[in-house]
Amino acid sequence: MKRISRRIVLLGSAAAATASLVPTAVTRVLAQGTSGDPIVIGHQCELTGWDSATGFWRDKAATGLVDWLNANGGIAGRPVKLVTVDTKSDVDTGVNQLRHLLIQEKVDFVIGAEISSIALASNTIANENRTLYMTMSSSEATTGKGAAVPYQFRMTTNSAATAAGAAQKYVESIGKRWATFFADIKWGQSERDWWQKGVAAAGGEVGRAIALPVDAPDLLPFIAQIDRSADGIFIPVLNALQAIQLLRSSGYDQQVVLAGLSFSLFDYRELGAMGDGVFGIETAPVALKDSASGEMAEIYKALGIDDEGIHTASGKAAGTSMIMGIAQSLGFVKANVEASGWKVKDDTAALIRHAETVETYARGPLFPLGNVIVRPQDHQAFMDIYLLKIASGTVGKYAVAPKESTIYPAEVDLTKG
Amino acid sequence: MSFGAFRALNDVSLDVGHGEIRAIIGPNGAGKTTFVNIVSGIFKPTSGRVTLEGRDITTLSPQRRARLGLARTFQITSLFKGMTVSEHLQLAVRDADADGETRRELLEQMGLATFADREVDTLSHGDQRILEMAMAMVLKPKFLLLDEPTAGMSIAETDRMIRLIIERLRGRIGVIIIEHDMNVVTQTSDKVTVLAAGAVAASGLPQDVLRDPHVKEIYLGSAANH
Amino acid sequence: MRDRVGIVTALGVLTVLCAIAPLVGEFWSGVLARCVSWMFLAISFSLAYSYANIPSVAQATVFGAGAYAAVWATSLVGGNMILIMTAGAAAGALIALVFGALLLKMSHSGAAIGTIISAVTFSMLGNAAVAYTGGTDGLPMPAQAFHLLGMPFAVGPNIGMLLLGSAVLAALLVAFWLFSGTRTWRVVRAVQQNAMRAQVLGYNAAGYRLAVFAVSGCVAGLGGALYALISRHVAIEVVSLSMSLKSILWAAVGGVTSIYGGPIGVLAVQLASELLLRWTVRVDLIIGLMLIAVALWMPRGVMGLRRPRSSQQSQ
Ligand SMILES: Nc1ncnc2c1ncn2[C@@H]1O[C@H](COP(=O)(O)OP(=O)(O)O)[C@@H](O)[C@H]1O
Ligand SMILES: [Mg+2]
Repeated sequence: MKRISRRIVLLGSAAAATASLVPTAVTRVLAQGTSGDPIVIGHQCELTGWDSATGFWRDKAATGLVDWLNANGGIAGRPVKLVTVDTKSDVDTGVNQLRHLLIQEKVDFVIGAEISSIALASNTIANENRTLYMTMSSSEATTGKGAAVPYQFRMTTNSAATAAGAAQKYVESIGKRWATFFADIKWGQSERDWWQKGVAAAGGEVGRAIALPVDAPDLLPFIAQIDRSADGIFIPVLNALQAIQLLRSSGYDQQVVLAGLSFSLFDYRELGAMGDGVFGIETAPVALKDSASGEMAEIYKALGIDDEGIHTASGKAAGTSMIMGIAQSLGFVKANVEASGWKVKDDTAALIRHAETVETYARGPLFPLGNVIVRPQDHQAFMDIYLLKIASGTVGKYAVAPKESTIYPAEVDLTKG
Repeated sequence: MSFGAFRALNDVSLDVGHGEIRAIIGPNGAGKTTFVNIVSGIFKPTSGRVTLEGRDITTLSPQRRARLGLARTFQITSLFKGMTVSEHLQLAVRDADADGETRRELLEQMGLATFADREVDTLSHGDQRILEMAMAMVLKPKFLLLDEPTAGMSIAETDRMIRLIIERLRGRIGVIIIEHDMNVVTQTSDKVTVLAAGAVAASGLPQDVLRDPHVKEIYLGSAANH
Repeated sequence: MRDRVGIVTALGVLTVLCAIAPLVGEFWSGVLARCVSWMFLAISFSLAYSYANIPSVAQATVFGAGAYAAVWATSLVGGNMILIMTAGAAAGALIALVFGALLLKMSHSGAAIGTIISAVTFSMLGNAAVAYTGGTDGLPMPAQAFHLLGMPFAVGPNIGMLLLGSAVLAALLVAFWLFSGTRTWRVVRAVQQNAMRAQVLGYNAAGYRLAVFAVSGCVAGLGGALYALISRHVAIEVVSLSMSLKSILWAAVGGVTSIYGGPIGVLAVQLASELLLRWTVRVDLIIGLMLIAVALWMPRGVMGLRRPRSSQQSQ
């Protein structure tokens, strides 16, 4: 994702102060059935600051899954060492920390930041350093014109893909008339535009889209402008919790669709009774029964998440899209290291050339929910999108938008030159 | 002149001729400083006009008035910390090429020459007030407003100030001097105007005005009878 | 009135930075290069605060304007770095002139609040004007063949940019030092101490304050342009209020009444953060405590630690 808000920035420093004392460099070498020099993966993560809610899940996933990898043969038989740094959700710190990973830690691969400004400022630097950068940003611009670079792949989804896939499903099931209430920043605007396209393509229509300025102290006057006759309301806003509460208390009883990956930002159970009729767009369901995947069960076990999708240690509902993004990024590295015969960092160019020939990553331990396809032109992955619905206090699978429905035109072609 | 609903000055009209020294006296809060502030352009009057040599300067900024030859001093010493005496005079002259000779002369005449390179913070109160005068005089103004120039001075310092005014200002330019010290008033002024509660209570020659029982009543128990 | 100790200290700090750069390696050279660009921001705050009497919480906005102007200039005119830096400085001065003209109509505390409003407004404008600023994604510096005085120049977080930034900053500080001995500067200080007094001496106090504020904007804008050349990406965060607060912090640590304190303040705070980040995520907390300590025991910052020779102090 996305965005920045003054409110969130301030909250971020408070969060930084209260966060438990996590050492910034987490190093784990749990060699079991592995041998040789470790493959070093750097993780540029929002451990603190305004985006630390999603960073929490990426950090948990990366540490847990690297442990799991090391216990299960590592990558190409070699152990994996993870070095995690904190971006503090701040672009200057994030870039500095990436340079620390590249220059001082000399990592082999990087799993990148989620905040788009950090990801965009970082991928050029990783590219110059000839280090593969697995971006976690979900701004479609990251793999678009002027930003896509050869050493970057994205194994998670993005705004364009989620809106394209989800709009079709929701128009079919909820209705044709839509209202949009969006955060007036780059992320909200692009969600709005892609949603509009998706709804139109599915034969529906979006009425007036209401912009919410970043620093609006009061949402109510903006909410009051939303078309009451719409069948559904799409809300790519920063403070979804508050927006839903206000919508409900102002008498809007329509179905509400949150922007892609919102369930990693907050625990859906905080919505309480108002959560009923709220939909999300994620890359994985929350409860295990909704995925019916042995591989997902294995990941939940490795990360200490119960069958209902609750992380035992923290008591939080899992941010599954973040976990999927990390799993698939590690899966991509593992598959291509092993298939291309990668040994040292100089082999990364060959690894990328090889990766551009791989169209499909078959379902497996790190691709737990089915095949994932990667478009060689912009290095963007496409996967099934899970439409989730909250009903009677729990979130369940509502529908699945197949990966094919999420594909949108590529803006660049990295395979040429 | 009103501050909100409060009328600080009401229908006060003063005409001070070239070469005349006019004293304004009156109890604290009478509106004397307010009057100086209006004339020098710090306050914009609610109504009324200010003219200098027949030219209407009511709407001009303080700096424009200063450049037209209207100088003033402040009741509370207002010098610049960290600057020396001669730097103050250079500031006051404004013109970069102004004659350094004149400045040195002035310092000597005003008894400040030995302090020329001292920072003003180290000067005695009396010397600081004299410097304020020097800053106002160095530009050879056409009109000078002195707001309690002897405030806080010792008797000797006050005498020095009186001599300065008599020798260097009397008969040369128009001066308005706000003063509490009747000794200063009688020695320096051609005419006296008494302000009380924002209005002119009396006006005339010093000896007449100071003998006026009405004026004595205004001043009863106040600074006048020392 | 010239502060010899100040200028020597500041130039000494810059010289040491440049001298150690080859020894500390690529990573730290990049960190230091970015620090040098921020020194301009810290200095611009000191100028605005101490000499224009405007406690400006909008300096990062001006810095950001310089950074964006540098990116726009690059896409328009290509990689001529002199032009790019000029564009940044001009944009900074222009924004500061507009802000300043409005702020001077307000009282002192009104002006402080006015700068907050300006900062927030520009932040929102920047967020909304995605086509020009890239919004929250930010704007990449177009890839260009950059050149300085006809020589090819590699931009980015590298030693070359550290040297360039330091050289520009040193030139600026020396120019300021020379200027601080002039009559004009004496008037600036008089206006800053007592505007009304200066006015009745015939000086246009508002005009002087506006000019100083515009110069402070010019300095911030130039720093912004260097920042853009070093980062090669400008995000809307650069324009944010929290960035402005950082600049105040740097200035406070260095000594807000001396423009020579800025470089020391930036280095003390940023290097401490950078090192602390290796050990703990509670960096902000520790920096916060450090600030409280500075406020309590070093109210005039590092530059205030010198023996109180009054003419130097007030400089
Ligand atoms: N800026 C101001 N705002 C409000 N009231 C003022 C202001 N300046 C002066 N006054 C009021 O105007 C009256 C006259 O003040 P002033 O001219 O200073 O008296 P003085 O004759 O002692 O010099 C006083 O009551 C004072 O409180
Ligand atoms: Mg008075």
